[in-house]
Amino acid sequence: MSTDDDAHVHDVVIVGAGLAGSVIAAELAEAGIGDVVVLEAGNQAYFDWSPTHGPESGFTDRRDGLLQTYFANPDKEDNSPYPDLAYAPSPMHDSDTDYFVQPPAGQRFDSTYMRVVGGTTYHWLGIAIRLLPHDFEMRSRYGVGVDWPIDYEEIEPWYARAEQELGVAGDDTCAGPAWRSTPYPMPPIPHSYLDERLKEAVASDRYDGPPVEVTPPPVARNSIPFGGRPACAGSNNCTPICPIQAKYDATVHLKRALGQPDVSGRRVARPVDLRLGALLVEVVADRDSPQRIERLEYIDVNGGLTRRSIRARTYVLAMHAVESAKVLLSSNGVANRSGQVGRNLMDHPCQMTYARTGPVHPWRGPLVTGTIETFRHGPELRERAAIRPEFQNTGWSWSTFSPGTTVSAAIDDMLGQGLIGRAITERIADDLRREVTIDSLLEQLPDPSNQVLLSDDRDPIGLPRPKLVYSIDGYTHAGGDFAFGLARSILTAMGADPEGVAATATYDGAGHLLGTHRMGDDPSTSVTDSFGRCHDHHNLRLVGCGSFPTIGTANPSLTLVALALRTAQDMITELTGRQS
Amino acid sequence: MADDERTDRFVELSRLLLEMDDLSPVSAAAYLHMLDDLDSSWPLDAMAERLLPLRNLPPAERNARIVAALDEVAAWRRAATDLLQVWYSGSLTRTNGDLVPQPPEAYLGALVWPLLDTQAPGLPGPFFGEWAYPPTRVGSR
Repeated sequence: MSTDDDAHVHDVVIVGAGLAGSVIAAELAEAGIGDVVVLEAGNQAYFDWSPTHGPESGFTDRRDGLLQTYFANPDKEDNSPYPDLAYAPSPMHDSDTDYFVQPPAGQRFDSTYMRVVGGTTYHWLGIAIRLLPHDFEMRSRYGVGVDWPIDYEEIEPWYARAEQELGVAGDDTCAGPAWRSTPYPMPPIPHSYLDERLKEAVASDRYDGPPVEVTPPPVARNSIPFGGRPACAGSNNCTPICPIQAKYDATVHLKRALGQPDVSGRRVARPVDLRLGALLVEVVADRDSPQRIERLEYIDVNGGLTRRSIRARTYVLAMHAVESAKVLLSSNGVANRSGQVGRNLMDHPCQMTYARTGPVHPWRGPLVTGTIETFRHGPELRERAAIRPEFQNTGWSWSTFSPGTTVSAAIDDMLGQGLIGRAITERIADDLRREVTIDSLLEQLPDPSNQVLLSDDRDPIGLPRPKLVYSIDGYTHAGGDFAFGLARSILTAMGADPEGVAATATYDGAGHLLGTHRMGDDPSTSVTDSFGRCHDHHNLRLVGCGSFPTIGTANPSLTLVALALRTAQDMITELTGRQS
Repeated sequence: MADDERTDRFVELSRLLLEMDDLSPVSAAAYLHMLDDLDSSWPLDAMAERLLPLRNLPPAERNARIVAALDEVAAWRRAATDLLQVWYSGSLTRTNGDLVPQPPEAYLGALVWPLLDTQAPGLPGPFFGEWAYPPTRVGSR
């Protein structure tokens, strides 16, 4: 039996203080929506804040402790600086079997996320790039995937707003097919020394038709002071954590929602009520009117793991694609008349190609400052996946944040040759400064058999662990083969020995978890409409990357924010209409 | 032997194997602690006793005799590899794949960062746009 901790009905309950939840919370607070509660599984905010001090909390950023945790954690990966909550674990690259349940062999789902205040934007790369017009019409244009219920023209103004909200640095001359109604808020982040060597090597080259053009990707990283945050200082690098918050993270919007004044000193009209250590376990529909959600059931971690309920006029699930699907699948069929909840799990499989070229001096500046955007579209998409190559400024050590493998190989080789001392130092330096990795993001199509299910295995407090069923089809593999050919041609042009160009045997994950509650016009094949409103329940919204029907080749966060802003506007219209 | 003396001896042995004079005593203490954690019988004293007397030989002869000594004793070859690994990368891995716990200064003080004219991820700076230019001090060690 649960405990009602609120006698009254709130206006809105948002679950998840990550990117989507924080953006919507800030929009509602700005609009003066009555009382908005944000439930968050994480138990600590990494900025000055307390529920008793409210808007007077101060909000000074406190990531020092996260940095110390990172430095002392021997396992350097995306989630290393952040707590892995005992009651709400996060998946890790090296120990994903501790949370995700997956087969021990074969292609595994290799992406992570974080269950902390501020969500996964703490460790994100910061690329804030738009989908292209055709990405919304894959079925109509290329006969694969599905179409979105909205097109590029509909979302474009929301992209423009999202770029202002996050603070995006980009080059207005590099829009390509994604036409723009507004300039980027900031000038682009400069290319790295590596990017410039790439540009020299492939200048005027074409590969299978399109030009091989290296351009700076738009990023939510300040190239000038913006939003009260400093310009990038060139820290090596901003994943898994930017030490100075020059890179946007969702605490920017969360603090605003909680009452932090903006740079002009203005505060939101009605700060939200943030409740930490609140772990959603069930969404309960009204027994008599099942099209209405009656309440949410959550575990109050700070209240002795008490099960509580909370009621609102509107509910928003913003817990990331896997967690939202997991809770819905635990909720007696809520939102799942279509049978699509948990299905169509997608990521951007990463085709990684490695070589040593002339000196490129990596391990300086942001992780990615150069990409190729010209292979994201074209008639080839009828036959193979679109690709989007990124150039890693971290040598061969993507996502490990330490070149330890190169070091150990050099030591073994040099000792084997009877050399020690300065010879080893010079060998390590020479190897590292010539390492190049091209990471091509591959489009993955929606496949209903790729899905999140509930495992019989339980997490530490007895909730089902997510069981992932995941494979990569021939369409994406064909894109991977194409990406390897392109990468090999680029690296060879840069002076690499063709025999030394290598690729990983399996694809890495990009950390883009998408598609588990997709939007659409047809309630029989989709879970929500384009505003995130569930077809089955008029007062339940599902937001975040789970909403994407297809994923193109764009890192998803900018599209997530554009959709969240659009959903928030729809909610404000709905809620203020009722209030008036 | 007191900890300070043992650390001093480790610094001397490290200088010999790395051919570097400017080694941080803070890093040295961290790395010796990690090596002891990796192998409680890590052979500091035996290696120091055998190798430190070679310090004043001409570099080519000295290095040849060091490598010959490491080849004579299998455990020493492993121990020297671990010493070099922890100094360069700040990290050590056990034979079962587990990572040896490390203090913050281990990662921050790893020699690969100055070798690349950079600093460990997580530290702020140096300045906007630095990454666009060739490094000025690469390989200066």
